[in-house]
Amino acid sequence: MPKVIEINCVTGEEVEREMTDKELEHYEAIKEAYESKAE
Amino acid sequence: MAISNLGGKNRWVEIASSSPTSGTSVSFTSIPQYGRLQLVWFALDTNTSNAALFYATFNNDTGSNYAYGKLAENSTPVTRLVTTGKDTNINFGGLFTASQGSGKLLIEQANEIFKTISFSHFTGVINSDQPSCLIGDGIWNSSSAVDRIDLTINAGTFKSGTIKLYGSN
Repeated sequence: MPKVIEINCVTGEEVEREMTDKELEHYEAIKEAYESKAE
Repeated sequence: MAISNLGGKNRWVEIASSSPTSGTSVSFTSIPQYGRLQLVWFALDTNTSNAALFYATFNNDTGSNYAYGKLAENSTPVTRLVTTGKDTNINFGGLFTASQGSGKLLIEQANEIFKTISFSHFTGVINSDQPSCLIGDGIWNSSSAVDRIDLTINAGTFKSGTIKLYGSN
């Protein structure tokens, strides 16, 4: 599972977490589009 | 302009900073409202074995709301690249292993009802058909104030470098 480094600009807190379903869906869609264009 | 005014309106302040050594995405959240936001990345490197596509989104918006044109330069004459007029992200081109990409993204009217963007990205290349210098200009079609920016690579993870977010009113 791809990871996200998230920085809260108010608290300054930085955490590493897994992508949410929505983030992962977008990530996979762009990855697929890029790979198909590169072929 | 009087010197005393130089420290007031229009001065840039650092909002947040990250030096990612892992992760495929760096997400700046809860961004305070500023008229202008500028993201600056310096010497970003990845652990990919090849090129990774490097891109941004605002406010977790994954719809086709980004429109821009960009010019890319490599070892051949300037190549004009144009999007379809709408895209699901802002594509800065590639980050290549051990080539350390740097650049900036400026968002104007970041808390107004329309947003304009301009960006540049510079990197070394691993073969001559990949752009080493890219500049672009466009819009984000949203009336929402920018409160989140995600920078993502589509392969591997971040290895080194810094990303800083600045704001100005």
